Amino acid sequence: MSLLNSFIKQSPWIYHVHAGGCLGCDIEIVALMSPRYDLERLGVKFVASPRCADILLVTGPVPLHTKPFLERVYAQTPEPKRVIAVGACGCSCGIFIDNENYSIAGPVEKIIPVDVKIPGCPPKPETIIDGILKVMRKFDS
Amino acid sequence: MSKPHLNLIIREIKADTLGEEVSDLLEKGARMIYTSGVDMGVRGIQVNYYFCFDHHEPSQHTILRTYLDRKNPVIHSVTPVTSQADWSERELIEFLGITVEGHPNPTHLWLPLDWKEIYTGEKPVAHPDTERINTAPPVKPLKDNIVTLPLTTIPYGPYHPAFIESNYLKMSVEDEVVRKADLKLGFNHRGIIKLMERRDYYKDLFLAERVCGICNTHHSLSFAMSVEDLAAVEVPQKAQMARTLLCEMERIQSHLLSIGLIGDLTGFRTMLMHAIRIREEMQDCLEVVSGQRVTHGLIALGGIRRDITENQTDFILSKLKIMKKSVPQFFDQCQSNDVLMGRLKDVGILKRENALKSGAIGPVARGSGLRIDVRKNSPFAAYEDVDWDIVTENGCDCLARIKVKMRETLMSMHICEQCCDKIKIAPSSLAAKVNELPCGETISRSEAPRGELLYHVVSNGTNTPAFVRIRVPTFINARIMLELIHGCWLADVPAIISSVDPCYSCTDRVTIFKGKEQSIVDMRSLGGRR
Repeated sequence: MSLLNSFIKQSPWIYHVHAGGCLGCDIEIVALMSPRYDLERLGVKFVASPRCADILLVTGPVPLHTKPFLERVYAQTPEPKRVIAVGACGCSCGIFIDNENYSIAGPVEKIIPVDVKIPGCPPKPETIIDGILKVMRKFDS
Repeated sequence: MSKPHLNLIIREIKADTLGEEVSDLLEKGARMIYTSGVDMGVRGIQVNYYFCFDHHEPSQHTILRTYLDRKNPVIHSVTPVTSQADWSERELIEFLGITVEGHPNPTHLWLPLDWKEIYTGEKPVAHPDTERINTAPPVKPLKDNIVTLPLTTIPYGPYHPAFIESNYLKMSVEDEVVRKADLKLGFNHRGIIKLMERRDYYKDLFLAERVCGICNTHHSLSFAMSVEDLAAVEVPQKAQMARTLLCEMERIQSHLLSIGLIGDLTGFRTMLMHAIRIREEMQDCLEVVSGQRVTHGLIALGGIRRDITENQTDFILSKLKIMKKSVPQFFDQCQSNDVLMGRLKDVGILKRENALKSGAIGPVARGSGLRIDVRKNSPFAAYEDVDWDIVTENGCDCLARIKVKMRETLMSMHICEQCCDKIKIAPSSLAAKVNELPCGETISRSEAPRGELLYHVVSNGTNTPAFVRIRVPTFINARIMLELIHGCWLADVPAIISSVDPCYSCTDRVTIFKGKEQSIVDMRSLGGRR
């Protein structure tokens, strides 16, 4: 496992899960691939399927409707895997937290284990890069 | 600058004369915007039908209102009269339990797939402390209520590489032709409208901003406009100009992203990269003005929160100068690519009369030659004081819709320049004070990048609104997108989706039917690969 971990540390593949956010974080994740921030220069690649991903990047407060799908995406991701919760919603449900909110199942932490949280509404691309670098260090332990 | 007064007529009618009244208004040239339902307690369920008259009578709006019995809420469907009411009535069925008689397709659109188990309590919900993390896959796959033909079924989503957002599109395909397509929404349903009723007006402004991250200024602006209308507050000139500037800057970044996504979905990833590269200039401007790249929080009730200084306007003007070179260059490069043009031309044709009939709005309507734009039809902010015109194209296909977006981007840059100049010389007052909100109700409309946005705010004199109803542009356009997908080639579907540019986060703020020859296919779509 340690050999695999060292490979992942050099080039993690990321799957972006949109779990009911307002798109703010998701736009910043698109901006991560842009020529200005260019995450691929760090060896990070966004993949189209959770089955070949190492890191899940989850945004949003996880509505009830999305909960079973998020669970299934997590189950489909092969070990070793790490999860990043992006944005205030991903960390704590943010503005949507309320006793009477009938449609929120989240935050992400309540449904799948989270390794790194990136706060901000939405976090700047630099912050997301920092979070991804932090989760890469977590593959050691 | 006097804003033309919003002319709102509310007419209470009997439920059984509804069909005649609606067709009467439609004959007069009205367009049905939305249908909303509110549970008003002892008075019964209030159902509102919103109409506007576009360019026939500017700033004129009509609401037809009827009350239904709470014990037995039954209403006759107006969908056979006009398809513009289709999704709104499905929303009534779903969220208020109203029986809509004569609706052609009364299936659920927004509720979770296992809603029956969740809401009737058949399935015990795990206690958050005892069973905190459940990572096991579901024992039996969830069934959706999308009816498919006995043909090959191709699912798109809920998580599909082609979508940034989660939504679920299912198509029945015969050879290469899509015979039937249906959409399942609700993956982003966060109950925002309900939360708004629980929080005060100042907090609602931020909630409105988080309906959608791309058009957040328009959402908070529409909410602020309706509250200002309720409080009868005159917004200062500088604030009006700053709002116009913000809206147009947002339109530029949104249109550039959507043009880039068209390239991405049709197989030109370089086009997306160039679009984002140019868009970053606009994001810098927005960051300088508001301190945030995406959610700006600059709109306040009665005006704007922070001043836009001369240094900031100079920065915007310098960035616009760069963009005036790079944006037309990028658009020329896109349009000189024969392969891209070939993929978009004569694809997804929405004829002018069809667009009119189905109530298309935004770039979709303008790509079919309709002069529908709230900025002209019912002017808000300072759009009357700047020089601009509605952009229309007569191609009616995907290419025309994209050309509308391209030309609108250039037009927005032109408006931004004028706003920057006018902000410098405007009097320095930033916000009028909103003191007290009397009982009353109002609607406000604004033109978001994807089309018309409607807010209906009702005040009961307290610090929280009695109710808020939101109609977002994708609500109408996504249904038109499904109509366009019917009968087209499978390979054209991404082009059509991206040209309509649906935003499901907006739309989701808010009985299984089984035919004889039709079957329900299990949801095996997860992690679909391109």
